[in-house]
Amino acid sequence: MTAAFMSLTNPGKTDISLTSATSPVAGIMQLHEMAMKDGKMVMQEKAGGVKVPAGSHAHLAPSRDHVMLMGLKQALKPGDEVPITLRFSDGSSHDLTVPVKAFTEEEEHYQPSATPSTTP
Amino acid sequence: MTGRPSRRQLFGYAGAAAAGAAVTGGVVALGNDTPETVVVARDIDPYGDHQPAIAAASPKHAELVALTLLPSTDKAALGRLMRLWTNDIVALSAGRPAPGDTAPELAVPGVALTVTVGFGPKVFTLPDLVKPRGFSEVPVMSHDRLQPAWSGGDLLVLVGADDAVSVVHAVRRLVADAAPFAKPLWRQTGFWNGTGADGQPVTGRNLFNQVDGTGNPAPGTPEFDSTVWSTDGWTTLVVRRIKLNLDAWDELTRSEQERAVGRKLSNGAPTTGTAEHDELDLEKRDADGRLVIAENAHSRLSHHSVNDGRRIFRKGLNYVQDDGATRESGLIFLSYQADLVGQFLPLLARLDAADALNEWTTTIGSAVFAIPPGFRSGTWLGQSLLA
Ligand code: HEM
Ligand SMILES: [Cu+2]
Repeated sequence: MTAAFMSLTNPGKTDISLTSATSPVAGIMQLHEMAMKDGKMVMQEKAGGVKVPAGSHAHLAPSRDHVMLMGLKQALKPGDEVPITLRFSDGSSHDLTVPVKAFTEEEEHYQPSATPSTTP
Repeated sequence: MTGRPSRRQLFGYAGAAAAGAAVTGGVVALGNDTPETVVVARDIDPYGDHQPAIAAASPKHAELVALTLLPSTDKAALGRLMRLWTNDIVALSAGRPAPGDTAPELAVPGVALTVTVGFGPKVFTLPDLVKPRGFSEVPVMSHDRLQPAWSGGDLLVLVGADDAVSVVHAVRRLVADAAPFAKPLWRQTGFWNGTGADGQPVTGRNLFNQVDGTGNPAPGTPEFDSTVWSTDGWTTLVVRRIKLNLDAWDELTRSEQERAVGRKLSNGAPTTGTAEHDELDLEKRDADGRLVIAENAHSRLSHHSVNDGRRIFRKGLNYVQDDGATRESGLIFLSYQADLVGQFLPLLARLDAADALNEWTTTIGSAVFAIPPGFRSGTWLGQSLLA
């Protein structure tokens, strides 16, 4: 599985939400949250996106909210860099270049609940 | 699935992405109604013309990791690693987990965490990369007993903080994130106490009980700047792992110990003076006509007045290395200078030839690194070399 983690800072006076993300390397990108289902932690799409409160942060981190990259068009290796565009509820968007790291957390935690895992 | 480590998948990560307006760094908000008690945030700003740890007070705890580049790591890959580390450093310095950290609670603010990154000689043999002026390896000295286990390296990361847990955590992240590019060659852990009983900064002591660092140019002075920084903002770092023979040292009388350096153990003052920062009187003789600061005294031989004005900026770390019940003690000697060849090597050669301290010290590790300038928001470590 491939997910993007980041810290978002909102220095503004109104709450803002991360509503979508795109990247040329992924066919689909979704905003995910972790939830308890039948006694197991699974991830699912996060309704309404990821809120970044005014004057505060949102941390996208392992076992928490994250941006899921699905339908990868190319294999990603640790050490690669991939472009990502984030879109926010205020209509703004931000382009980032993010490095690819090896993931050290157990991948089973990130099995999607609906579809089978598409490991690269 | 074959050929891949199990339980390892890939993920991308972004550092700080700003939603809405500009990114702001760590913010300390002091409202008008703030009472007298103000928390002193000891986070050190990771941004600046120079990597910030060099001119900052010595950390209480530090770890150095030297890494070897993997064969596939070329100039472009090294640039990717530097962008990744820059991002990690910004987060860790503020006490925030580096994105993707699986132990995020171990990142805490207020511990003065710093990271310094350097490039070993091999980096400058990669195509298109130009070696900084005055950067070279240190030749083996006659008293050296170098062990490969403590020598060399293509990259250096030096992490310091006032808390050992924070150091270990940051090192673990930085080394893990470097895995696609470089693997550790050696690690050295050290400690230093630069704080007096009253909480004020003092010159720390090495394990010989000597006040160590008095003769340094003081950060913030023109002397410091000309000693340490080259015109393009780089510096060089020499790391020497020096074993101290404490058993033999302890057999000396106090005055023999003081004579070896020419400074007093009580406060670091020259044996010709009374206060720590008194100037050495290199001409002074005792009643028998003997030089008070001996010909072979360490502080005489290394003093800039007898070395054509050459200075270096030293930052030691004490170390202990245990093997079961046996303990080795020593000094991780760190020396910063703009021009390694012009400033450091002549001093080292002189001390190797004649220093009184040689009887109780043995250098067992040696490495050199060119230290790139600092970075600012939107730029990254080593960008001027690798972009
Ligand atoms: C072998 C382990 C060493 C020990 C225990 C040691 C200890 C000391 C001490 C106690 C002082 C006097 C206080 C001070 O100015 O900081 C001193 C000064 C100094 N040492 Fe060392 N040192 C060692 C190795 C070296 C090496 C390898 C070099 C350089 C090649 C060096 C260069 C200097 C310099 C430049 C000074 C300052 C002299 C001045 O301007 O007053 N030391 N050292
Ligand atoms: Cu997910």
